[in-house]
Amino acid sequence: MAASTHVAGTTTAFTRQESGRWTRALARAKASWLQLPFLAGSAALLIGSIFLPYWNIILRAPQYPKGLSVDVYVNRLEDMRSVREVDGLNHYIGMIPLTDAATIERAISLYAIPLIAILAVASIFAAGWWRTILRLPVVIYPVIFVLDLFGWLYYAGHSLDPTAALSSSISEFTPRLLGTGVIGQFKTEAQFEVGFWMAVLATLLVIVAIVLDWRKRQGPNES
Amino acid sequence: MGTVVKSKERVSRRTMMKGAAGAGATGLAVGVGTRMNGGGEVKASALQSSVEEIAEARGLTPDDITAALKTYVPSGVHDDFLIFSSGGQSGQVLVIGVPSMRLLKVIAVFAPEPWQGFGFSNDTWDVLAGGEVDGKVLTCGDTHHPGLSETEGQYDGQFLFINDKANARIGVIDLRDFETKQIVKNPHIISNHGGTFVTPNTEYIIDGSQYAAPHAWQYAPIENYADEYRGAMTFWKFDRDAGRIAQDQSFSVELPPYWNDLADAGKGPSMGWMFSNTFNTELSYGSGGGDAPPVEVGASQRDMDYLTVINWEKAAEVVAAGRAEEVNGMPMIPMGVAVEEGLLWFVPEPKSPHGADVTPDGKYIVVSGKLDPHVTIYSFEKIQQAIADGKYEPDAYGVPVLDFEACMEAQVELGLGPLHTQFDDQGLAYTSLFLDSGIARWKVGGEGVDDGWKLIDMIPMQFNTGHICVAEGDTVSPAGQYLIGMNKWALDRFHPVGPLLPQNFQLVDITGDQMQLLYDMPIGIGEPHYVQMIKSERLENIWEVYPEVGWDTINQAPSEFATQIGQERIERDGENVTIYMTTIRSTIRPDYIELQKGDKVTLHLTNVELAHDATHGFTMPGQDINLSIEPGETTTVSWVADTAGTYPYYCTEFCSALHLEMMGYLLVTP
Repeated sequence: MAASTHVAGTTTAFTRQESGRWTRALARAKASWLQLPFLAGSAALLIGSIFLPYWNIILRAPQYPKGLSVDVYVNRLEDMRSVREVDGLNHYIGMIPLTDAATIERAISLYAIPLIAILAVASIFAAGWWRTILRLPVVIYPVIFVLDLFGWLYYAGHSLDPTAALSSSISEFTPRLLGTGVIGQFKTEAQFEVGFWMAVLATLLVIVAIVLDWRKRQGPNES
Repeated sequence: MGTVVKSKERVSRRTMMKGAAGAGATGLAVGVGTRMNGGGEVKASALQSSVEEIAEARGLTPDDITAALKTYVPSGVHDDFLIFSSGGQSGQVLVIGVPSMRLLKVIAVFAPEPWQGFGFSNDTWDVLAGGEVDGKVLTCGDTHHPGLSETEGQYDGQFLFINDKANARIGVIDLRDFETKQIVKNPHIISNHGGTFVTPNTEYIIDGSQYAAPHAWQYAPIENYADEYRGAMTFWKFDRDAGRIAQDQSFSVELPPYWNDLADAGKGPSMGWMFSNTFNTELSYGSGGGDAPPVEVGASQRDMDYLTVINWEKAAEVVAAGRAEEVNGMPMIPMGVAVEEGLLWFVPEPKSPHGADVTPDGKYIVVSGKLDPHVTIYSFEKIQQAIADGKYEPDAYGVPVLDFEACMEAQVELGLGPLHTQFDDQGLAYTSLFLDSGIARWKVGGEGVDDGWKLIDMIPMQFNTGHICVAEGDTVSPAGQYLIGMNKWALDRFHPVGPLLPQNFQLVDITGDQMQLLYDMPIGIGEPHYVQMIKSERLENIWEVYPEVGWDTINQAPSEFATQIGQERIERDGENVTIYMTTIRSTIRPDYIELQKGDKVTLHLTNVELAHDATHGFTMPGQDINLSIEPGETTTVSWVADTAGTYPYYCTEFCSALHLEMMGYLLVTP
């Protein structure tokens, strides 16, 4: 590029090579500019979803007329009052505290989610299958979230402390991921929340971008 | 209707009342039918026949049924109003819902109360001890007149004050958690009937002396009554931000040894002034060991006593200007200075008056005759005019006595033994008649009012009505609707319970052309005097649980002794043992404590619960310990482990299915 040729006036092989890469990357991006809004929109949705709840569970019992509502975010649980109360109740059946679940996932989510969003956007500069590979994490992210959540629900219901006060009155179970369930005097209602649906939408946008890309490659202008 | 917690569709109370008030059971069934049809469940005709059957079976009249309909508050529905009632000799305050007349809470103030742990934890004991007299902590009191804090002359639902007449003390209750935070002892006077009455923005809490005595709780021979005994009107400064009476900014005005009774603060045009009825201008002190007649005779000789009129704004300026004297650590304006500054006046009142109640517009002061069948109404404007015109003569103590005729606006003959007056939102006044055992309703007069200063009707009460209360009836904007008569005698109203009978609160509907008695509520916990009734919607800042886990509930701030789960520990420093304990369903941590005989123990308990209503208690056998630890609260108790033994301690609130298991062992080794 102009800047590299200007440096010292003697263009080395290295800078020529670099210059060529950038030029080609930019050219690839320009050629597929149509995918960019989908990728950027997907990234915005994903990053925005960090601040919104993904999943909610409400526990209802006669003693809790307002219900105990726990919102699961990618990096935290809210509100803490309900969380503590649910943990307090769960200790009777020997279930792990909610805050002990998915600690690694919650810790890395704030970095991992922006990272996969940026990778998907950056894929516009990539060539060939790399494009699809860089976009794949966003595509599978909602599935990973659901599997992870289900895994933790399963683990919580299948690792009950056998010495807990009420352990003899409850057998292993998996709390419902969606819909209504019953645990003791509690009725539970679980559903996905706006953050999750944003992630799903982000996935769809990236799939559109992938399809556009594939079509482009099969088309006459493929270089 | 109040806060509807249920999701059922309901018609408004007014609609219900209209439906019900018509003609007993028939009109009633229609009213109710409307409501039930709203839910689409019960047909009016079916309901009507069942109501009639029930009424017949229970011997109820149509009036009984309308009364029941007007007072019944379904499960889960809250009352429209709350009353704060003095608990009389119990030294407590009662909180009751209106119109259901359900007792919601008894707030401990001047007496220890185990359920709330009041007086058992160190912090609440310190509150009680704040009212100590010469180092003696008092554990009883005679609560008389609750006073809700006001903003611009209307209750603001933030604080409640209550006096202990017996010892001239004031308690301060925070209405975020309905707990007593402060008790102050009046350093000047020995007994206070004239408290607590707040000024329109709670600048001051008025506290008037009853029985005259030498100031500062001193001795003086009874023969020196006229010279050395004195009365006083105390103005307690209230620091709203701190939620405390600021004694260093409070003061009294010295008064002759007459006895002050009730008081009220001026408002609107009379803002800055206060009024108190004053009796025993005869200076009777009973026999004094000699031949003089008892007080009931001695204090009832003169045809006229006084309305005491004080300009408290001026008084505060006089104190600020340094013209007060320090008496027992608090400023007092000497009578001579008060007279010289023109801030103290008397107006004659008919014989042994009771009550001094300012009309909502602040223009008039109503004083009851007690031994005179009239209420006498004074015009504030006329009082000011009489002062300007110099229409006064000094009394024996040099206090100017204004001309009665010049200040008097009207007299209304109501009946025998008029005591206390309150007002509604329709320009009507209500006065209790102790001797006639009833309540008189009369019309407030004044400019532009036809037929003012006239008796309208009366309703009999059961029996011997003392104070009365109309909803927000002593504010600038009364709510009307309900009146409560506080009857001293119940006689046959309730099932016999031995010679000591409950008092009888009677709820009266004052919305109609005829006042209607709705409900009798027995008060079996002391003799209440005054109550105030506030719209429940004004109490909007009540906490469900304390704001943080580890809350110092006296100072309403995070506690330095807050203990979170995992921080429980026992620290020993010689014979001083400090225990940091937590409670959460259904475990007390630590659940084992070993002490040596003679250890001095300090136990800090934190209820780490965040859930509504998840209160824990704590008791320890043989140590006179009973604590209440509400969600988030940190409290402290100290004792000496002076007897070796085995002490199972436990939670006293049935908190959970495993409540009985919520315990621990404390062992004291010999």
